Amino acid sequence: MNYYYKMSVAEAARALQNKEITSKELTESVLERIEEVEEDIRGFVTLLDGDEVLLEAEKIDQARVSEEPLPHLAGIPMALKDNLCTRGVPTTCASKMLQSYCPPYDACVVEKLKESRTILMGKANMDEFAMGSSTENSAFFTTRNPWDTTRVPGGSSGGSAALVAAGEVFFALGSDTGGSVRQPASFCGVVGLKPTYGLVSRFGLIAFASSLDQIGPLTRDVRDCAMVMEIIAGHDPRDSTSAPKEKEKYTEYLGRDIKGFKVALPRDCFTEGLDAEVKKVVMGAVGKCTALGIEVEDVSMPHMQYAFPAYYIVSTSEAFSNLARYDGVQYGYRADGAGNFVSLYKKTRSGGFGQEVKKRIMLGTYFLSSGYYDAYYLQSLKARTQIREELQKVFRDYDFIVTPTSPTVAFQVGEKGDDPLTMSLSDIYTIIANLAGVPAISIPCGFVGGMPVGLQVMGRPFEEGRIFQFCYALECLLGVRNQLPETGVKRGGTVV
Amino acid sequence: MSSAFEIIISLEVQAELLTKSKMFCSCPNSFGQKPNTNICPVCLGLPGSLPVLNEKALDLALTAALALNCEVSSFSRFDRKHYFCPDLPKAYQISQYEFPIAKNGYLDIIKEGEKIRRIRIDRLHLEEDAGKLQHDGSASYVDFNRCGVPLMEIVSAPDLRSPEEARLFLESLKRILLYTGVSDCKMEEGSLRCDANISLRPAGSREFGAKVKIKNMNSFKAVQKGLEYEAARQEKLLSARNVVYQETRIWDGERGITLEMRGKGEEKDYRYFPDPDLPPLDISPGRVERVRSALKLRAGEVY
Amino acid sequence: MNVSRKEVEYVASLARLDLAPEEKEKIFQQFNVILDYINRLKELNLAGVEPTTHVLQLKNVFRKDRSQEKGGELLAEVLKEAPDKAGRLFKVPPVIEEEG
Repeated sequence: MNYYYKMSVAEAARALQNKEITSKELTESVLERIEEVEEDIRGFVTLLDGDEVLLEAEKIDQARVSEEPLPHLAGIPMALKDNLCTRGVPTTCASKMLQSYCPPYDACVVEKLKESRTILMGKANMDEFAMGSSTENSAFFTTRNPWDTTRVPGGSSGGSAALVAAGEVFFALGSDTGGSVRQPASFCGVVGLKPTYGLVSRFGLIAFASSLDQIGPLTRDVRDCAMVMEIIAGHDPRDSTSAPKEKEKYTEYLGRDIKGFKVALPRDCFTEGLDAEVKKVVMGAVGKCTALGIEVEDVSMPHMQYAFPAYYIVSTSEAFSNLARYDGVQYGYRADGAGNFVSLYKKTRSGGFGQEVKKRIMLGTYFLSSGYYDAYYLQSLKARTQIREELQKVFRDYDFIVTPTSPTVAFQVGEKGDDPLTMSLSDIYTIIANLAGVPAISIPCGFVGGMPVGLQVMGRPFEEGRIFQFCYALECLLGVRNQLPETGVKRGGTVV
Repeated sequence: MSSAFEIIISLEVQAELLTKSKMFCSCPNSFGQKPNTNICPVCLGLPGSLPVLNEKALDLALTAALALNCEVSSFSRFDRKHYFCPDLPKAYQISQYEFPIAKNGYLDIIKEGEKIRRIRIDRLHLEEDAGKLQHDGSASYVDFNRCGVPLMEIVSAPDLRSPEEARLFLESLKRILLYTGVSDCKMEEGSLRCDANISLRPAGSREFGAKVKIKNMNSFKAVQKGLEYEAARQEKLLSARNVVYQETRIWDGERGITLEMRGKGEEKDYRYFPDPDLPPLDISPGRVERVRSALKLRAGEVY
Repeated sequence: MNVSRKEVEYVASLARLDLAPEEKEKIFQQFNVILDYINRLKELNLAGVEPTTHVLQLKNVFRKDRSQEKGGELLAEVLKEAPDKAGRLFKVPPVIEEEG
């Protein structure tokens, strides 16, 4: 058993380029690790055939031996959230509706990762259609937190986060509509970025809420995050909402001086509902910022309390629309025994969707239906304007806004039950970045009771580079990076 | 038709645009291919696919808007119109609701050799076409080839006063769309389609009666015939002091009658909202002028 | 109470969903809890505020009118996913209701 799987993406890439290791060895290490822990973690919905994956690794090794030019991350194993379309590989959204669906095309980010010759190990579990905060809404099974397998990994990109934290892949992609990359990153002790809306193409991302969705990386440190962003960011003419921006070298920001940066601390985020221990860890990390010559000041963001209602209305309305297409006509699940097409629709949609998805589709239908549109949908779009303006105002004076990523550490599987609000309120700090379209990252900043705590940094639109610059310095200062649960995996709280 | 009633008609005309590719993807805009061969993830509405607007579709709609004396909107936007039908793969049609490309135009029709009537046009907007359904007794079959073909919808004001005027309006419109190269207007191939709203009111009244929408009139003659039948049907009902219900009826050309549509469920609620996948349009005076000069050039060639 | 059971039923039908009785009851309860919370948005006076429909201020995003035939491989993959088909057509139970 070797420990190559513990390397960061940057370390692995360097070792490959220096021919200290081969991609085959790296992949074997990951496969062994999967063999060891996946039974307890259950992060993969689809795990690709080991022999085929190794064949791909060998091809890359041969190319390297014959000195063919290879992209920087060639030969590095990774995973994709199961709402990213992969041609010929099942893409299920963790839903019965798409259980055996194989898309006939690759998502833009998948093309880019293929071009960069990274190795796809499999598709990661998630909450059904990305609706949830724990993977408990997956139609298949719940993924477990590698730091304590009695706890959830967060969600909806919980599979992606758990796989990265458990050492089963070097990095993964998730999608973030209201915190779905950052919250699981926080729960699993990894780095997760939601890029500026429009920075990463959504072409081939199965939509939940189109005006909020962004694809983002989950990695074990800030440098890896910057490296993955260099691959997946960039304009795509197939996505009309893709920003026409030049590609940036994000890694060049790392190590630059951060003196003089100004950080805003919204006091509205440090009130009721925030776990006292989590608060202590986050404030401790913030306190250390001043040692780096950074100014930290309290600000007030009174519209934050409206963020959740606005988010809920916008996301469910768009979800109703985006999920209307699942009708059993062209692809996916079709219910038996329908005598006409109306009954086909009703039976298929009732049998194919889980309860959380049905509830949100119905809420969206309600908010958009005639007579309610102005009171709900239009009102939420206006609130969105105000929230955006409030953030813009803060960003006139400050470079970053810092908050906890989540009000608590990872909770127990089954703990949140059916209460429709408590679960969603765990996204309370993350949703404003989606509403305003700004970039936001979660980085590990410490532990409470052995469970990782995440710190969220929001920045101005398209200033991912400066976020990396700041977070890289912070990560060095805090000494929390690339930490895998030490002795493998805890089963039911005991070390095995 | 006795003079006791006045006929009020408005038309909703849909014309397929003469583009090379579809509205939101690069599939060819063509007719008569083998079923389900002219399709891609975008026009099939596959999960994860996204639309990108064909610029030519906008310019053709603007050409028609100027030829029909419309006010072009400086701000225009696409909305999603939701309804469930197997030939509509996303279960919504990308259309325009609140902010159409153009509004408030008119078209002059020539009646009885010289008498000119000016028919107002309410709005002109862009939308995507749906696929085609075939039926046999036991099942229906879907061909998605036509999905995403660019359509322009032109809605007239209720200014038409006879089935004959409705036909004349359509003929004038066809001439214009053909001259300007906007559409080939082949009703038999479905590249020009027309639904009509018709109501009757006592002569001299200013109130409108309950309007009936007539679908499936597949030729200019059918439009006139269908409306003549429907006007007579409504007149008979009203003369006998019966009620005309607001409804949609289908023209059955073979039998020469309009039929009630079967199985009408709940009321229509399209749940329109702005399409988040498509940024809005800012139609600049420069673009309008460019289209206008091309139109003048064309007019010069034609006359 | 924000919505009645009857309204929940109507909304389910509008969304083309059939709910089992216990499912209906649960969603009915949750609807009301959520709406209670969300109604705080109505407190805000937002008269005159422009709605944000798109967070990026992009406008006029077009493609050129170029057509491209699709390969047979893609078509085969698309048809392979059909739950039911007849030749090249997707087969569905009879359409008895026209909409549009």
